[in-house]
Amino acid sequence: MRSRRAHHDVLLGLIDQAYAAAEAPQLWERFLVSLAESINARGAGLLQHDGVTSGAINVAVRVDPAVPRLYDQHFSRLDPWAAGAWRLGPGVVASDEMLVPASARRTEYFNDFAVHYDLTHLLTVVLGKRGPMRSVLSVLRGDRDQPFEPDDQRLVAALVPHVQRALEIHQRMSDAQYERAAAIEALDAIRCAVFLVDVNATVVLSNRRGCEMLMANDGLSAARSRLTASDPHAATKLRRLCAAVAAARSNGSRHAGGSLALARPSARPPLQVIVAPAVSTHSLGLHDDRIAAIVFVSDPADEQMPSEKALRELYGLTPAEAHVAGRIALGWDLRQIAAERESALETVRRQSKQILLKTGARHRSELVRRLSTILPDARGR
Amino acid sequence: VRRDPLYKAVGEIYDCATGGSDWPGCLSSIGRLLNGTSTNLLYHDLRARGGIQVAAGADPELYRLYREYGHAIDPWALASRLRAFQSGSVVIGASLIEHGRLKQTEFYADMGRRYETTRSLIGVLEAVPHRTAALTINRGDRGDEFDAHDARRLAVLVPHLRRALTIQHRLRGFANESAHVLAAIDRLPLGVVLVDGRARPILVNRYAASLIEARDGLAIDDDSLAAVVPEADARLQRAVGSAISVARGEALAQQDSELLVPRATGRRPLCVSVSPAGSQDFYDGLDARPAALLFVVDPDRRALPIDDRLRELLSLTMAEARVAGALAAGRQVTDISDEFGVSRETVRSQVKRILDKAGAKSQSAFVRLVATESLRLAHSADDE
Repeated sequence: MRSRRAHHDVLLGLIDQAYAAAEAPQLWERFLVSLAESINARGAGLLQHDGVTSGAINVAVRVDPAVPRLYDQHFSRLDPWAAGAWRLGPGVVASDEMLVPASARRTEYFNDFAVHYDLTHLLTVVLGKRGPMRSVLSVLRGDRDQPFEPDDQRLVAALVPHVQRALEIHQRMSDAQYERAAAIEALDAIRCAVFLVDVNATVVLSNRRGCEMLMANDGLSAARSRLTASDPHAATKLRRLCAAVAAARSNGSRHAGGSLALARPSARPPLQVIVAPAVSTHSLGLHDDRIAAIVFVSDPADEQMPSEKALRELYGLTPAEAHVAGRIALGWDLRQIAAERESALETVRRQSKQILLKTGARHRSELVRRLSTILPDARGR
Repeated sequence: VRRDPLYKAVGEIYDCATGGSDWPGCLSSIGRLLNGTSTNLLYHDLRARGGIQVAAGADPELYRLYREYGHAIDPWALASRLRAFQSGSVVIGASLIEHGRLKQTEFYADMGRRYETTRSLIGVLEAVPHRTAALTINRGDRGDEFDAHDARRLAVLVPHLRRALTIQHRLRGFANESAHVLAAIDRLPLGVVLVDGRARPILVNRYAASLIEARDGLAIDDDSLAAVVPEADARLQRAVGSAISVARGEALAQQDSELLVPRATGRRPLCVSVSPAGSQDFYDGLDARPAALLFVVDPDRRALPIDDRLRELLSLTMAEARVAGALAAGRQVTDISDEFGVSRETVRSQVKRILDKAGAKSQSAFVRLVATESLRLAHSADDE
């Protein structure tokens, strides 16, 4: 028997390591090693199992490297203890309580796996469930070792609420990260540049097109992460808009935002900018929120070709007509199209008429308007 | 040993980080554990500002007084100016200022004695030059002085408090960013849907949600995204399946990346494009989750009328804005001239000025420009 004080220190140390792993998941291994050491276990693991035939080891320490692989591939289906632990419900269970040792020893699991890798005694506890899967903590000893004692069982039991909570936090953190990553991925796939900015127009987050636009430094750029424009007047206006939107947001009123055009040194058509107030995250109980405004920037020179396939299927255009229609939609004139296609201007003019007929547009401007709502190639460039 | 309420307090601290429990309740537990009269989470810049962020136990009046001027005469904060605290350390207040001397301070006379705040145990959560965040536990004159045993018990809790506050900060940060990014996606004039390997939606923006809700071409059946018309659904599922296998790295090229989804209402079909998503680059330190990203466009969506924003955007005059609106609707110079009763020459010169201001080379380039996302975004910003 360890002294009370030593016991207390061991438990506190393990609790600390479990929560450290909640914050930095690579530390789960360290926690399991400490746990195994503190109760003289041969190995320890965190695994999941549906209690029937499906299971996998998430982290295992101090066992032969073949163990997790063999378990995942084969023995998880035969694991008599997983099913037993499920039935026994909450609490730390020793393997000897689940099966009469003599009957356990006749199973394939026992003969070919547990004995071979010296993992015949275990303490196991169901920590929680997600869908059909139970997450399970197990510590193991072999035949050469003493079976686990009630004292070991009590130590693991004292740890359980903390390990459960640590796993929940781990899950919450990764769910939140996935949710954020999914949203950013969708935002990255669109062609319009999007910047989430603070009151000073400092970029907190931008999508991929936004990064490209800042790199190109043609009309819009960032100085120390702050959005700025080549044209000083426009730069001032942009910052004022962000500040006004932010001010309205922080005093609880609403500012509709505004728009402006940014002239570009390259003499391309001006960038079009919309500044809109950011959503209020107050309702989410989030108060430490810097993001005040969303800035959308679109580049009219960004060629957005309507999908030729969609044009063909929607209006029954021929491949050549779809190709010409795509360029008309971009605002090319017939001469440019003819030059690109190396065909006679007359041919293109005939195709253009055909396109008008099929789409029901009266003239090219109306056609452009119609086609502009058809899907551009969404996969980025 | 295992029944020690210290362990329970550790758990409560983390429950606060995830929102399962509240800080005042948790501070009360810590206060009880250490026989305090009050327990506070406070910050102090050791110059001019200081305040109590979360408090438990004492009279609200104390917190008002402390915010008002108490922080400036806080004897422990004043004494601690001379010391460099370490983040994570625990300090017994009496080691900073002896109890007899404290009784002579303005703080003691004004609030300390009255609100039983004359002894303190301080857990330093964060200490950078001139700035401290701390957990303090107080006792009054009637209580005993905090001793080494109390300090050891608080020292157990301090690392947990620090970690829990970091976790809370990170969780809020992620939630904040997600909310803002989703709001940006909601403003887009096209439908955005992200689905997992079984076509179950992970993310649906507002535009797509309205189509799905009306079962207008698309729907969610048995938790999965589906096309309402069975034939189109087979194609949709194939497209999603193909995008997922590319995302998993099982296939190199994607098939059926674009398709038309018919609508029961007799409108023109929705144009849907499907692409692989959920690749490793997006999930820093996490396992990849193969997904498919769908963009949905409704070709019947009405082109929006030109509003004040076009005028603002291009600095147009009222007359020019009117002409610009007609142009954007696809009308020609002759139509506009007839409609507004203005000579063709005038309209022509207005058109020229409009195109100049917009940086458009031709009339159709202008129409195209007006139809680009930004103007429609502006409109959806007004919808709210």
